[in-house]
Amino acid sequence: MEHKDDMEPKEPKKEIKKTQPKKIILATDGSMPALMATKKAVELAVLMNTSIIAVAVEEDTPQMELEKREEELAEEQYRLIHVDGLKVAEEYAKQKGVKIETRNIVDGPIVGAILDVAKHEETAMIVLGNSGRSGWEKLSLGSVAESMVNHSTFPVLVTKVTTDGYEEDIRYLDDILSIAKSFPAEVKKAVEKVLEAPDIKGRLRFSLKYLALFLVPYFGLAGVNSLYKDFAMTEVFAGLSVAVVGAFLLYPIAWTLGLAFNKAYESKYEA
Amino acid sequence: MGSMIALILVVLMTALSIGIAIYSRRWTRTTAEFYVAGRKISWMENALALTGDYLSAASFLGVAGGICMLGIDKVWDALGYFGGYIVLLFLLAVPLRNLGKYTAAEIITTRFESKTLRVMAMAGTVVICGFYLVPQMLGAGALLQLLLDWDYLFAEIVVGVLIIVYVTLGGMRATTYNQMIQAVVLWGAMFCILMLTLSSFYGFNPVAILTTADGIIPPQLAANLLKDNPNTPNLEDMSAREVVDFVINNNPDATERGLTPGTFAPDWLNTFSLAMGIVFGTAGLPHILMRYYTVKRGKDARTSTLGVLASVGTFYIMSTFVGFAAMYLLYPDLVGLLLAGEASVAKNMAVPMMGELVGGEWLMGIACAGAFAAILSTVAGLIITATTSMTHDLYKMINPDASERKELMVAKSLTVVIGIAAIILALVLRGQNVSYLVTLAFGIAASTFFPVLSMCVWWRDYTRQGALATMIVGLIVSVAYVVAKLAGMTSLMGLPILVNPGLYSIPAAFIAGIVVSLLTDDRGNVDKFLAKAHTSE
Repeated sequence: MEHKDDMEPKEPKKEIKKTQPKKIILATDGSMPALMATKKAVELAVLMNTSIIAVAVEEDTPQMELEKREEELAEEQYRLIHVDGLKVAEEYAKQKGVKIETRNIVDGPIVGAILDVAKHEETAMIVLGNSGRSGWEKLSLGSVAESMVNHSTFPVLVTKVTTDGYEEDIRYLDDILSIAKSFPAEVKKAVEKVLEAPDIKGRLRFSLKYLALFLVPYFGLAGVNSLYKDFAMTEVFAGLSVAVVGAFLLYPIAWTLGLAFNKAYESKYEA
Repeated sequence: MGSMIALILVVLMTALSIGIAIYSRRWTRTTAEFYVAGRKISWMENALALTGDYLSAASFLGVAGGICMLGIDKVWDALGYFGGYIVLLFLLAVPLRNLGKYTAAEIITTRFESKTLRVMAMAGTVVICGFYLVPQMLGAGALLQLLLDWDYLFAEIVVGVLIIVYVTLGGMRATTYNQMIQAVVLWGAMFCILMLTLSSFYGFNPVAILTTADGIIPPQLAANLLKDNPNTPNLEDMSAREVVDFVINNNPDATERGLTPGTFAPDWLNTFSLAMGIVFGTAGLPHILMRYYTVKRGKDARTSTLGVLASVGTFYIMSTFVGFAAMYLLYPDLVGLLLAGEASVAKNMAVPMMGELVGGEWLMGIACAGAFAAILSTVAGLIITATTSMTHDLYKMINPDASERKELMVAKSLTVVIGIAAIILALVLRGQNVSYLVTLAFGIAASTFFPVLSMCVWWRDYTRQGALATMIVGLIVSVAYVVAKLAGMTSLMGLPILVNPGLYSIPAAFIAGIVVSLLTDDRGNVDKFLAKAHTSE
């Protein structure tokens, strides 16, 4: 997060605080409820004569492709629309003459990340939409709005898109929705970089060298156990035979090789 | 040996693991704590999830179960399962992560655009997942048999239905966190069982476990010797020492002991085939390869794999000791069960039985509960991997306009089909050791995806036709020799049937791929593909 520079003398800083009104933190994920929050936040900023910091949090939890897809499908019914929340907020605020700053945070937890921004800013309040999840979905994903109300030390404004007054809500959101149309959520695609073909043969030699250092003792033990049974049964340590000691030795051998490989790989290919 | 406490623990653990898995996802969204350092521990999360994915019924029940039945030859299961991650780390972990694809089919078709290859990869995925799935069902069935004295058929049907419901209702969500929790439970349970065993019976001397086992004719061999012996006394009334001595004194010609190699893999052909099939299998398991998708960068792929090496390595060392301890401490029970025809319990339930012996019903319950939850989640992962592949790689090709929702629906209906097929196969293969069946799945994976993927990411002159030849030959040869083994045949096409197909099918797949590649020249998107595979972000 950004921190204010503390190099300035204390007195003038206080001056600045007095003249600068506290900001509104807007949390958006580009869904319909978030657009409602965006519109409210901008209206409030006009009334309060202040600026907005719009925050979007991308989650970064370990999930398999299918886990993600199932969750996204279930989310659709609550999102109603999927747009680039930060760009819409930026454009809408600009139209209404409100100063806005955007932050995209590439790590969850959603609530924690938003609160972290709020704590490091002169925050007046946090505005966010309520998805209206219920039942299973609320159980499994929880409610960001609810958690925000519980954890925030700042005032929190939660907006809603209601099913009863849906038509009315949509009419109210008309202007921001028309902006939203031009900012569909980007499907994240890895940037196709033109990559230089690395030295495959050298890398293969490097990998095979380490692999051989493991496979030779591994298959060596298999050979000893099956072809030289008398030797395999010879006692070597604490009454234990070559076959037994050999088996247990393979573990530390593998661990050592694994660590050595990792270290060598780092210095050779990632330096 | 029905146990109410154990049953309650199984039900609680199943519910709890689902509950924690659900809550964990919610927690990751709504907690107010914000750790800037959060990203740094992601490799640990992935290592735990990989461990949870990997430690299924085969590792938890089957490894110790096999060792206590047959002795040191079964230590290869543990060594191979562990060593497989070394192969994965050195050869494939980083390139696969860099490619950022998540099914074997996608990786192969990124280099070679070919529908035939895609369908072939789908077939491989389904076959491997199937062979991996059945032993899990078998393990679950044996657990219920042990806990509730249920009939095996009934137990299998209950497990099958439970799994179908679990997958179709719960689906894939939150499985990553679930796996992390299970890794901890299984590791912890094995640790407790070993520590209590050491303190109660061996004065904290692990070497004593091994030297004791060295003076025992392994139970499976003993049961064969006693089978036709009319003088066999009632084993239940005898101590372990008495039964061990009785078997040895009555069979002076039997020289095999717990630490004598050759009790399971009698010659070098069998030993090498087993060692090969397992160690190269990990790098070809579709549901393990898929897990690398959640790893962020190539560097994390390496560190996560190192984490897995530490956790599964220590786990298999503990399992080995528990298995050898069970060979002696449970000797009368194991031999008795085999003589009574309860092979599926005898060969797979040593770990829960050890839990009961050293820690009473509670520890047995925890062991059963952990095993059951691990089986459920592994089965879910396997079924989902298989159905994803079937819909993604086959259905999507037949019906390219299908929506995501439709695709998901097809996947869920396929779940039911696979579930029923698994129940039937589990009934056919009853009485086998769980880990043994999994080693067969490893053998097929080692012959199918390991050769094709390693040549794909490492060999410039590999061709589309070569890749196809690799997969066809690897899959057909390995499946043929597995089926022949299970059918009790002794030779096929002039070659003796071995305990694992690896010795034949892995070289066959490589040779087919190399020969065909040298004769053909469609190298696919070789430059772009190799550059991406070997350039870390």
